[in-house]
Parts: sequence; structure tokens; C-alpha cells
Amino acid sequence: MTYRRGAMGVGAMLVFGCGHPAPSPVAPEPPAPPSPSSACLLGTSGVPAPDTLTVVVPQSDSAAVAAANDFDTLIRLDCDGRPLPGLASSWTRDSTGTTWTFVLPDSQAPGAIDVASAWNSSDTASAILSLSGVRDAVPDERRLVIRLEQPAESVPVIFADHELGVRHHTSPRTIVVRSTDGRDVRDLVDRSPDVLVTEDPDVLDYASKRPGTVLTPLPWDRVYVLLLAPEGRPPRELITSDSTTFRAQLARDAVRSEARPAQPPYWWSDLRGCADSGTRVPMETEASGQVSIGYSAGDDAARSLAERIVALGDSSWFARGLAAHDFETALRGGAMDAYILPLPIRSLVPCRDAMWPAGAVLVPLVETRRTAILRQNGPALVVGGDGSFRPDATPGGP
Amino acid sequence: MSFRARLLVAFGVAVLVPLLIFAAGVRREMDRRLTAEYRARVDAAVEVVRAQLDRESADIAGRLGALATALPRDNRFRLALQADPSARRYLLDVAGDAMGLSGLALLEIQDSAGRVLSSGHFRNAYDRLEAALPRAFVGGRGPVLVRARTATGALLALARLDSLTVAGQHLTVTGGTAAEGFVGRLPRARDLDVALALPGDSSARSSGAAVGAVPLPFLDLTRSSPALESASLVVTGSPTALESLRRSVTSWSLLAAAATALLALGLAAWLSGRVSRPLAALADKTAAIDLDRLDQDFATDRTDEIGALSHLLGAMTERLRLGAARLREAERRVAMGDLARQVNHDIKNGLAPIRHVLRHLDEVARADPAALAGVLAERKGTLDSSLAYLDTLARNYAGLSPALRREPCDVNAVVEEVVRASIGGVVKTSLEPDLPAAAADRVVLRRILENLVGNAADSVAGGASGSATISTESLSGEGVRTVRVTVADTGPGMSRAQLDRAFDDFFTTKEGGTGLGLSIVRRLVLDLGGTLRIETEPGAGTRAIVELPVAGETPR
Repeated sequence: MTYRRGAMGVGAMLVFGCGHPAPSPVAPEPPAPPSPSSACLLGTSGVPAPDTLTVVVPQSDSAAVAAANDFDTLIRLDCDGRPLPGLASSWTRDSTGTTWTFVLPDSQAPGAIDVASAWNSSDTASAILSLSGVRDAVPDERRLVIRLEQPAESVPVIFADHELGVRHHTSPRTIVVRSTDGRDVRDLVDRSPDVLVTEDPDVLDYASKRPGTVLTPLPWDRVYVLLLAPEGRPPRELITSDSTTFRAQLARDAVRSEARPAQPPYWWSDLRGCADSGTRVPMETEASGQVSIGYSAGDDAARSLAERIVALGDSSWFARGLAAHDFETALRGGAMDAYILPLPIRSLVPCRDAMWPAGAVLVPLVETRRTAILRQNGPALVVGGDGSFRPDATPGGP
Repeated sequence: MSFRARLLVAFGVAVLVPLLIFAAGVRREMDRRLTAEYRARVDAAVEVVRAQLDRESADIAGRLGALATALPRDNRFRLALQADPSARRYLLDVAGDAMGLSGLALLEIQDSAGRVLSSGHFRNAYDRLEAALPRAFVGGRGPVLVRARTATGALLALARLDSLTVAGQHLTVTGGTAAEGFVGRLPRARDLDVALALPGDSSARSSGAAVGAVPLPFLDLTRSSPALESASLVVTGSPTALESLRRSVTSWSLLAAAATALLALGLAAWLSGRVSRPLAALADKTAAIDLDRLDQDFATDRTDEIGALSHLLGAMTERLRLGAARLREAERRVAMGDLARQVNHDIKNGLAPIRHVLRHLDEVARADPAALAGVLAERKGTLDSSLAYLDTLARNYAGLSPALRREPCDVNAVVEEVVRASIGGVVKTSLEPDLPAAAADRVVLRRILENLVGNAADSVAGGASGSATISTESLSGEGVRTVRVTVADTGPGMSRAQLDRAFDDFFTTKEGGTGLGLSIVRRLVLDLGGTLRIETEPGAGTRAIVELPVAGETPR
């Protein structure tokens, strides 16, 4: 058994330094959208953000949100997946679509050489670039010229991945990301943080009744799938009976948080560009005669879905919550028959994010979204596609 | 079988049999009482389990009753039952919320068809049809042990059912507490345990034998076709404790019996020894009595039957002693008569030739005086022979009554003198060195030994391989030391009849013997305070054994 991976053998030749002839752009990219989608704007327009912004997110998201806020990338995506200027204020492409030039005009922010240097020193960044077909990146003082193996019609979204970012040191504002950390989230609501993200309906119900609090649903950002292990004894007949009705019922009754049936297209539908590599370490399966469905403990939606599927099966089915690390180990080792797996609704690097064993079958179940609890008349914020929260810096904004 | 052995056996049987019966009885009674006590404790434990079960059941029923009262007043619940989509999730969660508040482990709300409307222990089991669950409580008033499904496995709960009607719908509310927790909270006796015994499950009895049980209806909802079965709360008791107690009682009973038996046998041995030892001593003393040895002392301080027997034997010995003395006196008188007749006869025999010679000389003197000298010379030999005979006769008779001097005497030296003087040197010696001196008259002792050695030498004379041996040794016995002199020969020996008359005067088996030798020797030995006995066997030789008291020892 192998894992699906990118073409690791194609190394990205990152070249940087002054004097290297940078290919000249042939056709300029249309100007990037100047502002994020209105759906990604939170808070009260015109209210400036304080120097320190406190964002409280569920424990399972805290690491990713903190990383998204700590790194600057060439481009950013808004919550709808549209590219926004990041370190690069603009970008152009040549006529073939294989050469992209990013302009980094801000002398206060990290420059092109800093970005290229960060990529060169990170194995993860190199691997992502390799997986994404980046042949080389040539920086000069204000530009970063990137050549791709395959032409791209639009700017490659991988440059919004925080693994390809540069940690910013001189941000004018500090964004403090805190985890709910197992406490009653309502206590945190009582403290009126700048932003509190949750999917707990009880918390939302409480917050909705609390004066001075505004609830803003965030974009649908994740999709839960039932992953049937290649060698497991999965409940395939259950999933394939009436998937539409089944998904709708799951979204309505099984998941306590806001959910809707999963909607195609799915980014994992086409992973042809990714190669299988790696070696699976087989694990002992659960007791014979029983069908085990694993989920990551602490993910209520995953647990609810697993329990509903178990409820529809016979008594030989059971659900089992695993700690995050154990869940990932079980998934890679095939220790269980099926898994409830939360996936991002969009993937910047599909070959990286498709970490399940080859041969596994993914059955989309529901999509979920969270809700941001804000102070009334709070600062205007932009929700990024990576879960980050940034002060709204669009023209006309604060 | 000796008297002592019989006494031991009798004592052992007399003690052991009742003792074993007693031990068996004690053991049986203890066993009966232990079993009865154990049974009482088991019954008490069963009653405790039953009472706790009733209490738990009432507690569950109370919580369900409160819930059945509260639910109809819940407007959102009422709306949800009327298919209000906005209250759908509330309906799904209401059992879980109520379960958390009531502290139950199982809670399920079902409609009249058995469809799950809301489940606390398995939130997403909504819409499942579990008609068997409410049916299990039909006709019963007590709790039912339910194995219910949850997302993560099976849940065993002690459940009750209540019902309510909301918005025209008849609903059932089934709730329960975790059976494992209930069983775990049950009070336990020291060696009694309580476990759940489910159909087909033998693990509950693995810790011990089932000694009591409280039956409980059981419904296994994890099966495809659940049906009401029979389970039980089993009181298990490890037989080890009771068996150990029984073994202990048995061991101690046996130990006590064995100790008592050993003690009894020891006591019996001591008592039998105490009884038989004086009897054996009396028997030994009695066995040593004969006419030559009537000096046994039966004196004792005992006042019991053995003392009486000793006194009787002492008196008998005394009578024997007097009788023996009278007998010896009679014998002596007879012997004196015999001796007088013999002396008369012998003197007559000795005087008859002299008388004949003198009559012859008188006749010659009257008839031929001149021939008197010649006849005298001719008959002088006869006179001399007769005179010598009379002289010998006189010396022999004189030896019948020697004068005694009892003084320390070196017996080995006397033996060597006698042996040196013996004819032919056929007598061998085996003398004990450092032999203590005997209290004896040296001359008398020499006469005794000369007689005995002479007899021995005579008995082996003419035999090619015959031999005579004289040996000495010292003996110790009963506080008295003696010197033994044994004169043995390998001659023809004597018959019993000859032995019976060996000590009679004038009895002899030798040609030319006077028959006085052994008689004289016997008197001399008795006069010295010693003993003489003859051991003989025809064809095997004779042993004459003389025992004399050691000088300085008190003669017996």
C-alpha cells in the first residue's frame, strides 16, 4: 500500500540572487481584485481594529489559525477562495502561462529574496513546490519570477499556503489566537473577545440572546467524508443506497452544528497529478466480526456522523474516537474499517492534503461552517480562506 | 503377646476408638454449623442484593416519573412531537439533556410503535425501531436488565419504564443506570461477591461458585431479534474459604486426636511398664530360685497387688528356705546314718583281714609257735594293706568336715597350683587377669578344684581328643560381684538321671570311686557361701560351675 504523493522526483530549482536574468513577462495578469468578497467581511465597516486583536477558535483549529496569522504569503485568498494581494501587490504572467512574476513593492515587508530564501531553506516548502510543479523561482530586488512546468490560467493558489509564507516580524497589529481549551465557551463569550469562532449551537443560542453580540456565519469551510478503508469491512451498501437523501438527513438531524449536504465538485475527485509513494505500515485491525468507524475525538460533527452511521448498522458496528495523532496513525495504518474525515472544502495542495491510503473510497457526507461571534460595533475584519482574521485594509476601509 | 503389649493394645483401643469417634463428631458438628452459618450469610447477602435492587429500581422509577411529569410541560418538546422542523434537533437532544440532568446512563423516548424519538445514550439512534424495549416491561413491575446499543459498544443498564401522553401521542420513557456501577456499589461480605450472570455468560461464576441468585429479566437489544431472557444477580462465594475452614477443623481434630493418642499410648506404655516391670523382676527372681539358691529378696515397700505378691513370694521363699534346711538336715542325718553304716562296714572290712591274720597267728602260736615268725612275715602284707586301707579310710572321712577360714583368696593362683599338680598336664586354663580375690579358704578351695579337675581329667582319660579346661572370670549382678570358676571337660557327660544323683553321697559312675567327691565339693562350696551347679549333656561333656563371693562383698 502506498500513499498518494506529488512528483517528489521533480525538484524545484530555486535560484535567487542579483544579476540573474529574469524572464520578462509577456502578457500581464489582469489586476488582482482590490478587495475581498463582502461575504468575507466581518464587523462594522469603518471601525478601526485595535493594536491587539483577540481571536478565540476551537482547540482543533487553533494551530492552523495561528499559523495563518503568523505568516505572510505572496498572495492571500479570501474566504471564498479568491486571490488577494499579499506580500505581492500584483502579479503578471507570460503568454504561455508558465512564467509568473510577482511584484513585492513594500520595502518594510519581506522582499522577493526573503521569500525565495525561506522556500529554499524549508524542506516542506520545497516539497510543496515540487508537488505543485514549480520548476524554479528567481528573485530580484522587487520581483519574484516563478516558472511552472504546466501553464496556469490564473495565479496558482499554492502561493497562499502558509507553508510558503514568511513569518512577519513587524506587523503593526498583534493578533492573539486563543483556543477554547475545553472550557465552557459561554464563559468566553461573557468576556466579549474580538472574535469567537464556534459551531456549538448551544453557545450560539446563548450568544444570540446576549446583548451587544453579533453572530456572523462564516463560509462553508469543511466537508466531512466517510472514508472506507481499502481493506476494511465498510458499510458500502448503506452509503450507496440513496446518497442525496442520506446526506440531507445527516445534515438535518445527525450533526448538531450547522451543516448541509456535501456538494460537488470535490477537490479530491481528480488526483491524477499525484503519484503514490511511501510505504504503509499495516496495523492490527479491530476485533474480528466488528466494523469500526474512527473519528477524531473532540470533533463533535465527526463523532455525530460516526454515531449515526453506527446507528444505521447492526450491533457489530461501533464508533471510536481517537486522539488526533492516533487518528492520523490509524488512518495511515488502516487499523479501522472506516473513518469520518474532515477535509477542507478547498485544497491549496491537493497532493499533500490527500493523505489517505490509495484505494480508499471517499463518500462525501456533509459540509459545515462555523459562526463568528463578534462585539457589536466591533472592528472590521477580513476572514481569509485559511481561517485567518485580519483587519480590513481595503480602500475605503478603516 | 506379652502382658505389656496386651496392656498397650487394650489401652490404645480403649482411648483411640472413643477419641476418633469424638473427633469425627466434633468435625461433623463443626461442618454442620459452618455450613449453616455460611448459608445464613448467603441468604443475608441475597436479601441485601434484592433490597438494593428494589431501591435502585425505585430510584430509577422516581427519576423517570419526574421526567414524565416535566416533558408534557415542555412546549418545545410538544412542538417537536407535532413535526415542527425547528424543534427537530431539540427533540433529538432532549433525552441526552434529561439523561445528563437525571444522572441516568440510559434514556430513550419512544413512540407507541417503539420508534426511537430521542435517545440519550445513543443520540443518533433516532428513528430506529426498538419495539422490544417497551414490550419487555409489559406485565412486569420490576426492573429489566437491558443491553442497549451505543455508538461505542453495548451498555448494560438496569432499566425501568414510564409512559406519558403528549399532544395526543402515547410515549414511553425508558431509563436506567449502569448495571456495572450498580453491581459495583453493592455491599459485599468478606468472602461473598456479587456479579451479573447473563444468559450464556459463564464469566460471572468464574470467581466462585454461585451460592445465591436474584433473578432478573434480561433484554439484549444488540441482537437482531431481541427477546426477553432470564439473567440474574448472582451471589458467588469462593468455596476456598469454607473449605479451608473445614480443612482446618479437620486438621486440628486429627492433630488433637493424634496428640491425644500419642499421649495415651505413652501413658499406657508408662503404666504398663510400671505394672509389668516389677512383675518381670519378680519373675526373674522367682526363676532364680532353687534349693541351692533360696536367698532371693522379695522385700518391698509396695502396698498394692504387686507388693502383696512380693510378700507372698518372699514368704514362700522363706518356707522353702526352712524346708530346704530341714531337708538338708534330714539328708545330713540320712547321710550320717549312711556314713555310720558305711564306716561300720568299711571298718569291718578293714578289720576283717586283720582279724583273720590275728586268728591265724593265734592258731599258729598255739599249734606251731616256731612258725609264728614266718607266718607273721607271710601275713604282714595283709596287715599292712588293711592298715593302709583303714588309714586311707580315716583320711577320707576326716575330709568330710574340714575347718574353714574365709579370707581373700587369689583364685587364679590356686587354679594354677591345682593345674600344675594335675596328672599329665591335660588341663588347660583360661584365666581372667585382674581377677578379684574371692572370700574363701585356700585349702578348701584347692580341695574343691582338685576334686573337680580330677573328675574332669578322669572323664577325658583314654579319649584321644578329650580335653579339660578350667577358666575364671568375675561377674557382677544385682549389686553383688562373684568369681566364677568353670571346670569343663569334653568327656561322655551325664544323663539326666545321673545328674539328679550326682550330688548324692557315695554315688559314683567311676570304677573304684567313693561317690563322695561331688557331695563333698558341694558341701564345701556351700560352706564358702558359694554356689555349684553342673551343666552336662550326654556325649557333649560336663561343666562344673563354682561361683564364690568376692572378698569384702556381703555374701548372699
